[in-house]
Amino acid sequence: MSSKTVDSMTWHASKDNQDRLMRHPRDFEAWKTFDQLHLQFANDPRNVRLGLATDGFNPFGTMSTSHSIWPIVLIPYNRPPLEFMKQTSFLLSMIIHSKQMAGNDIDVYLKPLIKLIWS
Amino acid sequence: MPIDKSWISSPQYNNEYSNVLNMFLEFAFGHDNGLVIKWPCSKCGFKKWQTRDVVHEHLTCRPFPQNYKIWYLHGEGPCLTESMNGTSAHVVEDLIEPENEMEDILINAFGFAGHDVNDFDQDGGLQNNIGRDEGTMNFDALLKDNNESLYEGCRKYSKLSFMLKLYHIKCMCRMSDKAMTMILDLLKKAFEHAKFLKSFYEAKNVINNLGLNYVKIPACPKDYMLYWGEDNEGLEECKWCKTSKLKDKDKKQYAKILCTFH
Repeated sequence: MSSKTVDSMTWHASKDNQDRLMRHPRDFEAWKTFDQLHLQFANDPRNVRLGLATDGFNPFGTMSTSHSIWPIVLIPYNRPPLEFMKQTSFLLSMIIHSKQMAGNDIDVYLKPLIKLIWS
Repeated sequence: MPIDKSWISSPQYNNEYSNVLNMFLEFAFGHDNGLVIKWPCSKCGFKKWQTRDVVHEHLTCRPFPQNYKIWYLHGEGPCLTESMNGTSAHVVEDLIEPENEMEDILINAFGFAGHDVNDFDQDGGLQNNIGRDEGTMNFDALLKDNNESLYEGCRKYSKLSFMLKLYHIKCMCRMSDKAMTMILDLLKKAFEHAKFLKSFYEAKNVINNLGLNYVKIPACPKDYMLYWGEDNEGLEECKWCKTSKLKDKDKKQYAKILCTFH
């Protein structure tokens, strides 16, 4: 990791939100509650907070029903608002190729990812 | 275990020096597990990779660099040393001037700077060793490509770096594999003396060896399970719904695939 990225990875803990406007997930109640529940994790600002996002698209024609692709993207929420939603900081973790979307059963596909993060 | 390094400043024609020089080589090659190390020589800096014999010869003729007291490049982590003060760390950092970014990429891909060698667990030790042998072979092959200049007298690009730049352009401009093959063929015909990779397939293998590959895991078409892990890898049909993992038995195409980039 470059020295510039290292600085921005602790941004969420270092800067105070003075005007109390919401512009980053760390300004929300959910984030603060998470910090209270997991004190050990919140203690070190270098711990990486990842968001997971996915959406499907049809590569062959917009209404095609024969094939769809679901990329799963990880977003590092540690970085400042200008950086964390940039394409360059997204981590493409995996891609699901199939005829139909996985829907709620997506947890089956996340097993390798969870194992990687725990190890 | 901290190693006595008072010999570094002693004159190199000493008996003691030759003894401890051997100790250094044992240390460096033992950690790197490869045939080559980046060798410390006051004249050449820390930039060249050489075999053991060459390193020994050079270090006998020229003095050991005085400031290189933590053998950072040769597998000694900062935690191993007793006196890790700011000044000595900075001396080492000053010594390493990364001029060749290709070598940095290689070291990052294979983790040869000695970070991961010390901390593999005992259970996985055997497997890791087998993996490392394979990795060392790949590393040596890539290093050979990197040391070979693109054509005689070319200083700017090596065989490896030119291929990586070309592949980078391919990815950024979304060139098709076919276009890449045709361009490589044209380049090979036009510049006979230059050393291009033989085919696009070979270029792709290099990219895979650098760690930029992905793993395909077949999945149950009804999302019950992944054919992943020791128990499930060899299965042909789903444990729960008994659906086959193949879409077409003749073509051996999987019905649903998960690609992971780790």
